[in-house]
Amino acid sequence: MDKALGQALLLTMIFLPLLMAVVVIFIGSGNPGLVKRLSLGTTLVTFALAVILCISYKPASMDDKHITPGRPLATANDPFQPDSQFTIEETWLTFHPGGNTTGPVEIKFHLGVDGLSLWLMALTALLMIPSVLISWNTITDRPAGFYALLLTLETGMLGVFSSFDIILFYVFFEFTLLPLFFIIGIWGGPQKRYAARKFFIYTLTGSLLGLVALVGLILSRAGLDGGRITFNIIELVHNTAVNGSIPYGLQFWLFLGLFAGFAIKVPLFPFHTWLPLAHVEAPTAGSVLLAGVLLKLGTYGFLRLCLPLLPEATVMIGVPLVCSLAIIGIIYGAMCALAQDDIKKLVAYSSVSHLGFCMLGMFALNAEGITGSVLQMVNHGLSTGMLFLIVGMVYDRYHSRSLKEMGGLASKLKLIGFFMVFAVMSSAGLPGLNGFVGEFLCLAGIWTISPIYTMLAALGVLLGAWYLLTMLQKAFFGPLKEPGKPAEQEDDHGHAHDDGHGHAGSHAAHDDHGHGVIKDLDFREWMILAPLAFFCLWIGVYPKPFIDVMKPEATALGARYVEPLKALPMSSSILAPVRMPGGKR
Amino acid sequence: MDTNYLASLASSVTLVAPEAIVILAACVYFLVAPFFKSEYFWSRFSLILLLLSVFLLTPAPPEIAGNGLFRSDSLSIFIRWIGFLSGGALVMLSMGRVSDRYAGEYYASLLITVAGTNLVACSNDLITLFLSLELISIPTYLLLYLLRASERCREATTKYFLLSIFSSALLLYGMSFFFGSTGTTNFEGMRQTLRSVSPSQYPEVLTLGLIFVMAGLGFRLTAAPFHFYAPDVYEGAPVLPVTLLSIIPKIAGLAAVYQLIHATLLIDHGTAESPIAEQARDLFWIMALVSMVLGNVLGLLQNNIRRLMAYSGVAHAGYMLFGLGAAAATPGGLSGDGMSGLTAVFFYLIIYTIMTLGVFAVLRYLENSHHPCESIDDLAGLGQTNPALAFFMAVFLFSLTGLPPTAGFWGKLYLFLAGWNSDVHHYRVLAIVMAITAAIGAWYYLRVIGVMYLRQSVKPLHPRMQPAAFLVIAACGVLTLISFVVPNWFMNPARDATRPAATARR
Repeated sequence: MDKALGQALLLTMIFLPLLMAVVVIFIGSGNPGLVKRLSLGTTLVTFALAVILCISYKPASMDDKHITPGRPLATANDPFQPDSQFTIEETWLTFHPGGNTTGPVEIKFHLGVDGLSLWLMALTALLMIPSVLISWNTITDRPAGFYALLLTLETGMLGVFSSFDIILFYVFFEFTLLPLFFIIGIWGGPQKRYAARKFFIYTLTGSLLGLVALVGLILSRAGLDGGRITFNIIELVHNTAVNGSIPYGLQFWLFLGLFAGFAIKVPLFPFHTWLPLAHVEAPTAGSVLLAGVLLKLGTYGFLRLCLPLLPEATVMIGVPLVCSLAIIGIIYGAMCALAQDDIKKLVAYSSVSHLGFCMLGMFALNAEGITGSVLQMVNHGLSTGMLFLIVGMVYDRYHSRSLKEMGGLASKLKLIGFFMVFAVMSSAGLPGLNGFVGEFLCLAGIWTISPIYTMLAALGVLLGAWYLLTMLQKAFFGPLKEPGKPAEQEDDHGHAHDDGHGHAGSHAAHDDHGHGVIKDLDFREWMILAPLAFFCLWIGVYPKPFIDVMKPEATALGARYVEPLKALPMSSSILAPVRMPGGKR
Repeated sequence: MDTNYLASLASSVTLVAPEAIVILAACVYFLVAPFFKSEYFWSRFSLILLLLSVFLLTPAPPEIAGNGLFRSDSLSIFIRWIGFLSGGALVMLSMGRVSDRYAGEYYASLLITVAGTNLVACSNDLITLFLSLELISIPTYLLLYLLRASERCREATTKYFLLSIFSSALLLYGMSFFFGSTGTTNFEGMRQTLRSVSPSQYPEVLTLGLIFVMAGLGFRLTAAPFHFYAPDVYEGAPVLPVTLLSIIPKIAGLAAVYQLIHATLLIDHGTAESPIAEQARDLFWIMALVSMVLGNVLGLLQNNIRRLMAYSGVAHAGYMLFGLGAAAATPGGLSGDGMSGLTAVFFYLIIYTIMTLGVFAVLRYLENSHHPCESIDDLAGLGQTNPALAFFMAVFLFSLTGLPPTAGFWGKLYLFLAGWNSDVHHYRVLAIVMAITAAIGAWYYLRVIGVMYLRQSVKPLHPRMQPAAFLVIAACGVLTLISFVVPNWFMNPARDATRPAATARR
């Protein structure tokens, strides 16, 4: 594809939603029909652009990079530096710091796409469509504001995945907080204000520490890189490989700073407390995007910044710390999910568990693990997105999410039941669906670090199947039990669950179904679930095209860790894992 | 009298012609006002006068002009732009809110305050610096008292009056040590004296001078532990003088700290570091730490929006002191951009002025004589009753928090960069403290935003349309957003403003 055209494509894809958000605000809530159609149109166009982006993206060939001029072979273990495509690089502002640094320092407006970010961008664009559609009838309070915030959020999320300048990355990373704060806080459930604030402050605290660490990282590199300060991620990765990394003592603290920023977002085990609350209180679209995309900002941050820029710290403290927390998270999340009565909360805790697999795969620090991790990010977005959407649909019909009140819904809502089974299977990792491929790669990757990790994580897979199937069995199979039946009690019930103001719309939606007659999927809901199910199936059956794109970058990143991992003192890990045959222990 | 002295005085006055005109005009106000009571006339006339003065400002001279009582350089031009423009904004906010009875006196006091701020930046002498600072303080007492003579207001005024006098005394005492050790009141003379001795032979009373000067100026900056008056005065006094109090003394105090310490005391002696530089940065470090922590933590407890803003001011004074200290700690900390402490502080000063002015402008817009806008709950549901105002308020508060896409983000980032770039380890620690306290502070800004957007209105405020005030709010809001996209607009002037310090230091 032509260079200028590629740049225009990327820019349009990222900033069209923001532009349309402004338009939507000016149309105002007086014309909800137009607002909704315009928002849907925008997300469809953005998704179409994402599809074009995916088709015209050429996976980096490992051989090409060797001989590309101006991109010398970095080290023996580091065959090439990942480069971005569709790159836009404009100077944003320039410093002349003087002192012992050379040359001006530039913060750039640097966007691009590479193998690690392509599928996450596509996922973001895809999940926006169901997010708009699911809100179609439920959001009646100030719809213009709601859709404008959703579209703004899309720009923020796409921006994070396509930033190749550290400051720009951080700007987008923080920027996603604002729309989601309002989405949860205005249109959320009964505890929305508390949930929104907790989410905001928790994430902000982490990311401010992350910012200090980023600043420290960049300025401490100046001495190693001949006094040149750069914010360009690709250049920093290259310099780290060629000129060596900063002293371990400093890396240790910088890693902890970045860890604070990203681990809260993921969320890793002790930092996850904001998540169930935010997920449960958010409107369905908010939950879908929060689980589907925003949690990935944390994992993506680790992948993009920690792994390539702080190699020693990643091996020395990253592996034991993150892997242990990830495993605790996998098991703890699953246990919590098992204990939930509220389906939405159950799905929220399942996120804690599933993201553990992502982190575990990533910190296997080899090609399989990293590939699996990125794939698992996409998979989790698809399957958890579907779960949240179906929970939202059930809630729209019955105004309840309590497992105790439901039973045998599949006999009445056959299609919803079908999709629920599908989503559960995908999430639980049934072979033939997407979850299996991702989890398998992650577990295969971590095996080389420690088989004990693999076994513990596999236990998590088992627990995952347990809580998901229990939920399925309670709510969708067995004798029919519908919440709020008989019909006289229905209204009271609806009120009991409707303390918040944001749900005025759900009543209206409920009434549309006509005097207590609960209908199965309508056309809109088909359009919400079918595309997601399609991609779940595709990745499950034929994942090669998805894996091929990210393989070069994952291989490059993994290759860098071959040597450092040999020196890993295994006893430093909390779980004291055993080395593979031939290892030191 | 010595004709030479008169000539130098005359040439000095031409350097500060705009301020001289403004002060003369204010004197005329005082004379004529008792016989001509028209708020409409005095406000419009003041606004025109201030805007005209902006045009009288010459472009920044490449080198320092004038070496007598006043001088003109890129720093003074920088501060005078901020001074005149924020003065103009204050006049626009006051329009229609001041009784005809004392309008002339009110606007005259306002003009003198603005002129005093500018003169601080132009001063080249201990005497003129002190007099300029008093030019700010004395009319402020009047302003605090004029608008609302209630019990609480009287208390606030008295408190401010007594503490202000006390702080002036401390400042004067500190200055006397400077004079005593160098034998001159002229800044250039002081620099020459200091340059001629080796750092180890610096008179030790300079340290005492440094401490007393920072105590006196810490009061203007509302830096802890000299902030005690701020919450009470902000709460008790009418909103217009509080707006003035929250920005004007900060601008002047910062300029004075720069003049006395960064441009005068911190002479570069090549390899040998002067003990005073080390003491200065330790002092800044302690004050910055205490201000950040106290401001942000105590801000959490407030229910009154003005008290909250007072603690916010304390916290922001801490951030500025952090930058000032980083400037003293870095070898190239006085020159260069973004990564040097002084540039970061001057950049922060611009955006702090804009966002604080914006917040108080919104409060002033909302309140009316029957219903003062005081508790945070008064803002409940503003997102629905007045979306435009709520939007701008949210922009200011997010900017105070330091979130993109607002100018506050660059402000914090530059300070982080400056702190890390300093060679001193404990300034890196302070950068981390700043990150944590900023996150704590985010909670109370967010609380206000939450009240505006996430709650229903209790007793809705229906302010009538006030074009001038709204213009100020909109201008501040747009600047906060625009300067995120093009930070260089403010960055370049802030960098230029540090040039004289770098030159003077050699």
